[in-house]
Amino acid sequence: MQRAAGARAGPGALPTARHGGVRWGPLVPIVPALLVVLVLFVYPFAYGLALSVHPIGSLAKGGMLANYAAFFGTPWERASIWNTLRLAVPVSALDLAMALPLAYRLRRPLPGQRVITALLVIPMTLGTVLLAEGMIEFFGPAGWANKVLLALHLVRMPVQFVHNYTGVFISLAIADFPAVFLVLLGYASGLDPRVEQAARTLGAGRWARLRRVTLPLLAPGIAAAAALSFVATFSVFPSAVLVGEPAGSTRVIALAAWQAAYEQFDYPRASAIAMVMAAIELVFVALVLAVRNRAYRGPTIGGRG
Amino acid sequence: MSAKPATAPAPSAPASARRIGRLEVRGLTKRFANVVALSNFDLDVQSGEFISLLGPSGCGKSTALNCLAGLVEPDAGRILLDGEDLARVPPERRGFGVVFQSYALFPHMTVARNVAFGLEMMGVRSEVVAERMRQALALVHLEDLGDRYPAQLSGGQQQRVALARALVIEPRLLLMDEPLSNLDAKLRLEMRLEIRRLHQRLGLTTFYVTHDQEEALSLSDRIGLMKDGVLRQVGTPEQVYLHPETAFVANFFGYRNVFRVRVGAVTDGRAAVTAPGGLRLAGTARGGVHEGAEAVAAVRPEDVEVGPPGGADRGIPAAVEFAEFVGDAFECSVTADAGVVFVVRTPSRWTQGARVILRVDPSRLLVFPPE
Repeated sequence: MQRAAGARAGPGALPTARHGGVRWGPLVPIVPALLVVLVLFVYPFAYGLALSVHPIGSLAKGGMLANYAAFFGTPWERASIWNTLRLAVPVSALDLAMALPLAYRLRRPLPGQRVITALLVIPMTLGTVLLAEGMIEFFGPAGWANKVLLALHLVRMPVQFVHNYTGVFISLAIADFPAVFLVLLGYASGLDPRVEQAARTLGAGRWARLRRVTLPLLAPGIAAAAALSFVATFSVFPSAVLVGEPAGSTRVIALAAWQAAYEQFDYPRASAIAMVMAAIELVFVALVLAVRNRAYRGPTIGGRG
Repeated sequence: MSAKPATAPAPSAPASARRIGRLEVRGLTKRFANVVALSNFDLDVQSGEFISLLGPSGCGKSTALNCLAGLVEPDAGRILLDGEDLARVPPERRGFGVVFQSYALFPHMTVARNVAFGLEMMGVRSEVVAERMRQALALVHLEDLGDRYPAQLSGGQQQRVALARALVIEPRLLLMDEPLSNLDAKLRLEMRLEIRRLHQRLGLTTFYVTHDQEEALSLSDRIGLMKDGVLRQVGTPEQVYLHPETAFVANFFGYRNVFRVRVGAVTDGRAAVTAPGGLRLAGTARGGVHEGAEAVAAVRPEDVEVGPPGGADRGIPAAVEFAEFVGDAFECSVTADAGVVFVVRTPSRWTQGARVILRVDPSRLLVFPPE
């Protein structure tokens, strides 16, 4: 220990020595990453926050919180929160519900597992715009989806899948799935199969094993995936415009901020909306983590501590 | 093969121990892809008997245990417990206690919840669960650690929790898969005694899988030796140790000197054999050894006598290659002039390169038919 500290304490005398019992040496390698975070995240955030409390134009006389008051006081603006929530929450829930059983099944090597995993992850590589173009064709009035439904006499008129809430919902669900699946797959492959086998030998049937062993052990992964998915879907923007109804039901909060900034050129108001957006995401993540912290934290391997 | 179990349930054993647990395994076979992991496995285990399955890794002993536990479905065969065939019954309805090599404790549950789990699954009333859980923890000396999580326990303590969790459900059959292999030497000895004590106290029919001959010898009423998915010999520890039936079994029990030989004259169970390099030895013929045939000769290091050259009777002239101090003796690698290398165990230190004469008592050199 002494030698190592001495060897590093060159002319620059990096703070490897003890200062009040804390060793700063090990923190040195993370300085570059810390700088990136500071420059790319913290500074813009602080700048936006500062901007948002300096209203301009007609709101300039309303005080520091005029931008926020305007946002929450205007039903049309306020509705963008609800428009986004009613996309982000059900899409995240659906993707979690779909990804969880799949990740659990694919946690061990199976025949064709790599192909299946690759297929499930492909949507990630498409990009929202390509996905939207495909959807407009496929789900359009003359697209395959409607052709099949009409041919099977399930509907009499073409169903409108795009340029409304449904379009954005489908697009988000597809684009968001791979990330949720990959996060859960990582956690599921960390499960020790012996632990579930032990539960079986102790008389636990399928349902009891799921409820008492598998789900509690996957809880951290479910929480991580839920937080990730919510943040990603809550900041939806391109698909809300391309396959949604941006002037109505899918006028999401990111779109509201964009319009304030680039249609009305009111940066401070746009910043305020972005702050509201960030706050909602933060609250949701905090909520998820709070729930998750009530559950078990620790290794998912039973034994050989 | 029909040895009586040496250990009868102790008179003070609780009521659960008087439940029968007579196991008959018939023709158990399991194939993985093209590998036969278990081939026509037959075994009878008496109620209360402690039986070990011993063999090198990949010999099928764990497959046998997993078939018994229900975690691996056999391709063929029957598993009769007190006459009832359980081969197709899922593990959750067999009611066997299983102790895994990695312990497989529930990491998200306290020690107490771990132990109570099996009872809760059986639908035992909660007051009874609490009581039996306490008894089980007391049995393994963990009364005070009920609130800990597995990650907060040492390896030995985790092993005790795994034991308590398997024992608390009062299983008719206790299965243990290399339970001591993750412990250090001192703890392994301690837990071995603990397992022995629990078996004597509870008298549970126990099926124990290990690759450690010392464990098997010290714990078991009977030992089954496995190789390539086939059970080669079953007998009491004394039987398999003193009277191995095959060269494989002999090799497993300390016959470290094994070489291919050609059999000369066989008279009255005494066989004259010729080892590679023309080395002539006299040994004791086991069944199936015939004159002029290929055979395998085996002798323990401690049964090879090392002496200085120039004695009265003829021996095997040899040179010491190296000597290792192993605590109570020296183990030497000695090369006979004929080329065969012997591992010998002697009380005296021989220097490297020393000329010596080796002598092998014919009654201690066993000659087996080739496998």
